[in-house]
Amino acid sequence: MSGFPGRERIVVTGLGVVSAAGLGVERFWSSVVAGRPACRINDRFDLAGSRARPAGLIEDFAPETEFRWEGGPTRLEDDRLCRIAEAAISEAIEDAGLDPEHRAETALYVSSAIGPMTTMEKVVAHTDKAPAGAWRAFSLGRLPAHLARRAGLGGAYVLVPTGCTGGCDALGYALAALREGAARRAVVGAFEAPVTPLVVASFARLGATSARDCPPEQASCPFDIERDGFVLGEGGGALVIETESAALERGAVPLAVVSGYGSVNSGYHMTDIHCSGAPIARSLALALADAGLPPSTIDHVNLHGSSTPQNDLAEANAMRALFGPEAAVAIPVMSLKSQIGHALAAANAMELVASVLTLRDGLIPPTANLRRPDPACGLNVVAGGPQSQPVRHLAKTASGFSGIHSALVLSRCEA
Amino acid sequence: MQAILIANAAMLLPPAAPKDGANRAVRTIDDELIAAAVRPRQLRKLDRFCQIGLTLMTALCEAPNEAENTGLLIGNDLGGWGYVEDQLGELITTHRETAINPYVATAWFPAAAQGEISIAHDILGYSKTFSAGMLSAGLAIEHAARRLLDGALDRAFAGGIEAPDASVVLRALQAEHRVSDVHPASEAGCLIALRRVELAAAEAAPVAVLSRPRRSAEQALNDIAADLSGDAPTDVFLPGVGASDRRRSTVDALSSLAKTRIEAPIRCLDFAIYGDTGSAGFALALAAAAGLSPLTPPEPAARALVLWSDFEGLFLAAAVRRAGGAA
Repeated sequence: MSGFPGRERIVVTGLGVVSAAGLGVERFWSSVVAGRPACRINDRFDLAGSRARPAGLIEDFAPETEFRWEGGPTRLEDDRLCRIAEAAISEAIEDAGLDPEHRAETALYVSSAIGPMTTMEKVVAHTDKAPAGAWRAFSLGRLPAHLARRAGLGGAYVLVPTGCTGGCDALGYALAALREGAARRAVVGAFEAPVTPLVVASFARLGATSARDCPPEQASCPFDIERDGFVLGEGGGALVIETESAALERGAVPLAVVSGYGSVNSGYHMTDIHCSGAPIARSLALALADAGLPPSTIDHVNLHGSSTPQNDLAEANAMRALFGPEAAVAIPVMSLKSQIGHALAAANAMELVASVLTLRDGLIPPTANLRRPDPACGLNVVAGGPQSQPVRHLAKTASGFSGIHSALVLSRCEA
Repeated sequence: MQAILIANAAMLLPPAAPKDGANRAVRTIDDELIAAAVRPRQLRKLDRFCQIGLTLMTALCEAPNEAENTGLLIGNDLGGWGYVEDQLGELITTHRETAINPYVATAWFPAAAQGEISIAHDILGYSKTFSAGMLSAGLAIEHAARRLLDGALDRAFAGGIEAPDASVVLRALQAEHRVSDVHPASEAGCLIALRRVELAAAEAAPVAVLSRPRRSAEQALNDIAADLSGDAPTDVFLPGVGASDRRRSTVDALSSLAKTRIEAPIRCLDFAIYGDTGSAGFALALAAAAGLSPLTPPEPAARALVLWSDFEGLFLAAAVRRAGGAA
């Protein structure tokens, strides 16, 4: 039995996802378990003087919201980010079986690293006068208010825009809020539509995204010796979480337990991660302590695994520091970014959805594109196909710009 | 609800009067104040909101001696468009990736200030960023208080920063009639040092009790009702919005509500003279309510209420007892 006596458990009762691997949870999971890399060349717009880069693009989803040089949304309500978020939230609410009465008392705690960027870039292009309603896109705080209205959620709403740890941080915020009684139920998630010229150019100019010459679906290769940067992605993940008593009162079936959360600053560098991985290990240790679990209980780690040389090595060293050298090479780990790219804050929300499904099905999806494992990482990276094994407790890590490192521990309900 | 101690505060505001020849729709903090605290390299590669944050933290002069138990919680709603907009304009015109410099990726996003300040001042504990319009600092301070009370942090610096001086932001604000020559957008920042009451050495420090973020002002006031009872005169701090702003009716409603909920004589105050201080507003009001600010009114009441909104449907309230106050 995990946790602390007398502390009510916080459980997951609904999931929603919009991703390059598929729309909806079951399509997403089927693709992810099969290990199909879904990144392709970004053909939505070109940037003169640079090679087209791959991206984890969602197919057949609101094509009118994709960034194109001509046309496009100029209102928050029409932004691709909002469409992604609304679809994921709607699926999670339906999956959880929340009726209007439940929604009226449900909070919304979400994240997006950069907000409705497609719309903001379009407004910048209007150099004379801002289109009506433009302000709503520039104020990031409008996003959760809008999403709460659209979903009919009557509880408090909060946006935690902490960059690439945002999905974990939104769930961490929600965990604290539900534990202390600020809400009994919340929709949590993170959403991103960052495949725009500004974002693509910014990461490329920083040297953060993959630039190597290879088929686009192979560019994201976490823990491989050839890795040279991440592949940008888009999408969103949503989870309905509740106090266990609130879930049971309405007859909901808990899918997993949110057992613990930890988050730290590295204080090291805005973009670099120290190779020791010490802050990552510290966030994991805090999450385990919050869960009341020793490291030896963790059966699987869903890693950030961004496919940058620094991140993957730092995470491997964090694994060794926290779990010890023997356990670090035994615990099965994976990176979903090998399949769907890196959707900033939304990446860890989609990875959390996958983590809940791992607990449900006892299946650890494979890391795609692992051809030559980097011996410096030296982890037990699941590759080639899914690994079937019971998982009682798993950890999820995330790292982001600003030196933010966050971790969560999720558990099976009967663990 | 439990109390949290307000140990110190630092704030930056523009001069109350506009500079000669300046765009009257925005007021900016004196560059000299920023340049005195921020290194020249950071002036080149950081957006103004991060520079304001670094200046505030330097002004607080509190080096954390237990860095892993110290947190930084910041509200910012607009990000760093002042840094980005010219480059993006060139990118839109030329479609050339090289129009964007390598620092854009770390200069624009709202969590940049959290990163820059935590790195410069070795703040290694639980830290987060919040975007909630004019309530951004309120959510940051409220969450900081919760994490202090649940033991995740021993010390926290919390507040808000906004730097709206970018033409695209001002155009969008003006299209919504949010700012004008009479009620300009203001660069502003305020960081407050918070402690758990039992860890504080100075009993004379002011104390705040915060509501949870609520979907009605009534609910927010219910959270702190015990701290608003009695007959102590009370200063009520409300968001400063322009007289012709459509949000004015909400502020008026908050004022009326405060009058019905507090039996004691009250005095309503807002900072409209400083324009729209955006994400910093709640922190500026809390510091003033605590008696730690040049904005503290003359002959302040011993007790204060800060009642705030994001003007989208979220509300937060704080009851503040000044040092030596009798509330």
